[in-house]
Amino acid sequence: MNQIDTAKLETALNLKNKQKFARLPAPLRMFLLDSKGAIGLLMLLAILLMSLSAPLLSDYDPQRRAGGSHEPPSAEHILGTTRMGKDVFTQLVYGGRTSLLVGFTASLLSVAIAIVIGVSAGYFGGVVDELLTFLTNVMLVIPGLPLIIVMASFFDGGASPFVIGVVFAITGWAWSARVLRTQTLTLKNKEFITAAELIGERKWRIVLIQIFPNMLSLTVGGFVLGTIYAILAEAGLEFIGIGDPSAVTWGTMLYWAQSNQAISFGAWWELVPPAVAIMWTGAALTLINFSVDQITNPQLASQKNQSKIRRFLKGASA
Amino acid sequence: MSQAILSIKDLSIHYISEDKIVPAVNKVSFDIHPGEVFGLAGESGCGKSTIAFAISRLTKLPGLITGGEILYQGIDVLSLNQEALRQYRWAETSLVFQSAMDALNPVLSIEEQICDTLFAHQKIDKKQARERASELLELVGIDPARMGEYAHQFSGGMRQRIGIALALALKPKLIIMDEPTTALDVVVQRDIIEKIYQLKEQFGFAVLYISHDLSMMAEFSDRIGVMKDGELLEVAPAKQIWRQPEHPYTRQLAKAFMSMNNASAGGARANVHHQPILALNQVSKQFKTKAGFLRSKPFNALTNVSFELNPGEAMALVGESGSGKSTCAKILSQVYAPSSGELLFHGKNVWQEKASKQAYRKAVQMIFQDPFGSLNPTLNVGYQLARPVQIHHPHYSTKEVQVRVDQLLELVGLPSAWARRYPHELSGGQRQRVAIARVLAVEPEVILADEPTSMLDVSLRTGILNLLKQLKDDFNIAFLYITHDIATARYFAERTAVMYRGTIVEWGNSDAVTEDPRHPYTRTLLEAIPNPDHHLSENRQTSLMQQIWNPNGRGCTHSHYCEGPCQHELTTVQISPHHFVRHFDFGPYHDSLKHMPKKRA
Amino acid sequence: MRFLLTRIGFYLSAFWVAITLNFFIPRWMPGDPATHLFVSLRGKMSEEALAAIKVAYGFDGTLWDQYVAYLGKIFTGDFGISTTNFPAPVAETLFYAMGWTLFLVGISISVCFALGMLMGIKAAWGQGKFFDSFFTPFNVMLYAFSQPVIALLLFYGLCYQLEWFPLGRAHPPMVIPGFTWEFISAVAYHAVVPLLTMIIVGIGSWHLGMRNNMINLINQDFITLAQAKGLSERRVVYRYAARNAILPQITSLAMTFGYVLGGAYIVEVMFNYPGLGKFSLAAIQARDYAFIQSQLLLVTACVLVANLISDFANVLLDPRLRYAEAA
Repeated sequence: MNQIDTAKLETALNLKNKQKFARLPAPLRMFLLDSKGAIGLLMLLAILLMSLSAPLLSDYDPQRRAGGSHEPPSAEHILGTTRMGKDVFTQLVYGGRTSLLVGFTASLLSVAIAIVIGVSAGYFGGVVDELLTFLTNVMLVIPGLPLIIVMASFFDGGASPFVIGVVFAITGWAWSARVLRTQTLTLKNKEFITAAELIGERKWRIVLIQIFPNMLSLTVGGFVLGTIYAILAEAGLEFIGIGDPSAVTWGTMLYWAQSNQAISFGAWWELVPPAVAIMWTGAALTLINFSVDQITNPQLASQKNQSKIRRFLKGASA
Repeated sequence: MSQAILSIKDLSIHYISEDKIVPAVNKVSFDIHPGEVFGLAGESGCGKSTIAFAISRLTKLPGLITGGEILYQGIDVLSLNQEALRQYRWAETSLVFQSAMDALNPVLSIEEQICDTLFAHQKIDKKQARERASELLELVGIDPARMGEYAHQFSGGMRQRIGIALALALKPKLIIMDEPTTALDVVVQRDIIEKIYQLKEQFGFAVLYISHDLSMMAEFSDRIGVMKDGELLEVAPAKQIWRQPEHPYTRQLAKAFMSMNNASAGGARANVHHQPILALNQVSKQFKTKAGFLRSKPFNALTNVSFELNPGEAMALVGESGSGKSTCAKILSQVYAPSSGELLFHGKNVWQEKASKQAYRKAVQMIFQDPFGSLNPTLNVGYQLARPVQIHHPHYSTKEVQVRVDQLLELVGLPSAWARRYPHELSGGQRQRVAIARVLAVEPEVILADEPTSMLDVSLRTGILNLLKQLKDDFNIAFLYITHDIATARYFAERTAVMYRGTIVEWGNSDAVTEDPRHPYTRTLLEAIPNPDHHLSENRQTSLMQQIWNPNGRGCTHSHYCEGPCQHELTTVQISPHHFVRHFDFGPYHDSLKHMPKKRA
Repeated sequence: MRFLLTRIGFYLSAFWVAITLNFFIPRWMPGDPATHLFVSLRGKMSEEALAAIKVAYGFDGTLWDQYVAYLGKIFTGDFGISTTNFPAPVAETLFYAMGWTLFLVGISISVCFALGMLMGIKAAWGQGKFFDSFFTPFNVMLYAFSQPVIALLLFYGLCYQLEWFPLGRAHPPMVIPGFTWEFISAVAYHAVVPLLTMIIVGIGSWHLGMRNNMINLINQDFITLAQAKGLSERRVVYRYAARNAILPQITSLAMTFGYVLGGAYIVEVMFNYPGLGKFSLAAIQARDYAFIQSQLLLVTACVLVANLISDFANVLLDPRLRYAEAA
């Protein structure tokens, strides 16, 4: 068999370059070295920045008529106007504010619930665990969307985006809680936790300082997934008309474009921008989630250089 | 010598990590001859298992074979095509893994796993395959009727036997055994090794035996190669490696084993006037085990265990897994409450008085087995040492805490600058030192050391045990040393208590217990210790102990032949002022046991 | 057996919690359904009629009396009277709609499971190769592109622009339901785009789940041993790795059932498909609370049955569960 020149392979894989990151903490290093996470983060920052600077980007009011009905994109209206004559670009950036804010807060809230319930169940065990686990499992089997429909039906004029967000937080924490409980149980049986108990450490300090940092990547993963779920589900609910149609979000934009039959009038610009915005955000969060997953479970990343190595070996034997 | 069946020439294997390529095996060459047992010894990470995988060409990325040759009877294994490789695997060289639990597929029956191996290589029908499978199981001493069962239904030792049956399936000329007995109890370990040796004599295959345990290897192998950091340092006949090692590293390794096996900690201290710090008085612990729907049956993990621990004294609790020694440790560290009996601390019952419970917490600390699990990976060494100092000295200023942390690191032989390091930057031995420093921070009177060295390389074990000895003398700390290894017990502790199925069966001065063992179980344990001066081929006889010894029994020491509930009153017999043994009655074997030689030859 | 009995016990109590939730939600919310109805009709209803409707909704008497009466009704299969099709019982529409929803969910989930599994196996076995580096993130992204967006794109592309498929409904109104070729082909034709939407959105999670399970198994000793035994690669992949990786997927199958049901609601509204989603939306607009509440119970019951089936499947496929008591 041929000898393989490891020095050449090292150059081919550009490993030297990666040594620059060697001093960073492992999770951060893994995140930065994985192109997926970095691209996702950039994409997310771009859309966040766009939404945050909405008032700078547009002089129109998203709720008010700004031009004629269904005007095509022009210098005046970058993305045209809706059937009601509202500026689509303005709605897009302002709608992003609501959609992203609802997504993030709903997810943050549900992760917070998940942490409290999952970690308490895992750490305290016994009756506490049995009760909380029962609660978690019940929430897991009661389907979210049909439940939300029941709750939303009691709000006159449709549920506002924030009501939807809160309902998501209340119904969507169970999965994360389950994962966090399992992780807490594993950690609780680690010897460093027993050691901390033996030196007389207080319970809250054990939970906050010894256990919680070890679950950070799992929590971040739950948060990212929760955000995806909340943004998508909010858009879905508003799209079918359960939300408050007077609010401006990406979901209600889709709803109006659909119910005004924008496409039949050839006004694709009323439909495409919110659709692209949702896809963009979804893609960004998915990419981030891939990298976070790899930090939680390094095996998923273990074959990163495979194709490069194969190519090198083929070149070496040829 | 005859033509080698396997020759490895200048084999190099590298690992491609995140940011560099590191050598795992560096230009290693050796030959294995037909029917020979070739031992490959070395500490963790030396590359010995990497070679084992390369021989079956199982090296997967990020591992990469970067040079050299593997010749099996003249065939270049590294250049076989996929189909030829498939046919070569198992039919010519098979493998036995360290952990049979992980090596057997949990959802396929044993029968399926043996048969599909046969089908992959031979044109036989189902009936023939089944016959062969039961033949194989019988060879290794497993009831073929249990063929349809799954891995989790067998005990550790039986699983390893199944692994060996599997390895024999195609009558290969070479079997590679990667730490085949490391995860097993000492007695089972000896049992398996003897079984392998007997099968080898019967079928004439060669064995590549990979292990960190040089003493067991010297007893079992014909020739031994010693590896360190990916390099093969020397290859020589087993006896020579053990008696006159050439390379300084081999010498150091052999010495580490010898000192463990032969040294003694000296007798117990004479002054027994003062009160013991810690005492267990007739402690029992029962667990409920599930036995069908809504029913449970009690299982006695501990039965009437009593012992005392004096200040500045080390006592060893020796036993196999399931003997109750860990339950004992958990009662002492207050994880479990005893079902009956008393835990006395300075003469006061700990479970009754709250004040004494708190005093106990502070005074009794624990060192754990797994150096990787006992330090929190997200906190640096400084923090993990500062916390116990702050908790026990709330009035200390930051400066004083800092000084104390430095002092603690110095005590365990680590530089004070390491306070800023994180656990992943430390080796196993260094971590164990940090764990010891953390325990010292509380200034305990008693330390429970639960197998503190069993997961460390041998060369580090003596270092850690010596450090503990030093601390014991300097700070007058009492140690309860819990171990499966009766040899290190003698090395470290003045007194030894042997546990077997939930009771202490023999106790006294460590020297007396190990040199004049009376209880059959103690003798079995001592017999199981590797004896590198005598090769397995010399003068072997299966001990009577192993005929009695039943790996599946639970509970009373008499459960081997008793039927129905236990009727035995276990009385204690005093052998000498510092040596006691539980009365035992081994029925038909009783007389023959009396004639056992006192000491091993 | 013990395992299954505990599971059944859990499902029964979970169902009880769902029923109780269903009972309390309208009572927690501001105003009861009858009053909501009264207000929305703006005085077209008399006070007597309001009282009568309150009785019909079970909002009279003490809370405990209401609760007991409510439980009794549920167990006799009485889901109340529909206000949309007054005085027809809700159950009729409910079970009709349920049939169509389960049709969509059943087919899409089976296809997603099978395709996702095969793709996941391929991706995991060639971890880091092209198929894995491209299709794994791509398929997962399809999920994140969201149900409404995919539904809209397919609707405008395939149904509206290209006119390959009908614009909505489960079958043309003039085709009479029955076991006829005409009916079956019409249903199949109408279901293509709704199903395609659900499959595109659903496949990613199965692909990723199977892939990650497989990758965690690939480094296990027993896989290496299977290779060392000289088994063919096919056999190692399917009999050893995939066989084990599928077990957790079966549990997820039941877990995601409720989620996919929710997704079907959106697709049904988009494609005017006569399932629970479409009728629930109509019920919200018509303030038909009996229907809205019953759909939750029915869907929960479906999820519980799915979970039970997956428990049985797990016990059948996993000897560790089967012999847990013996060991």
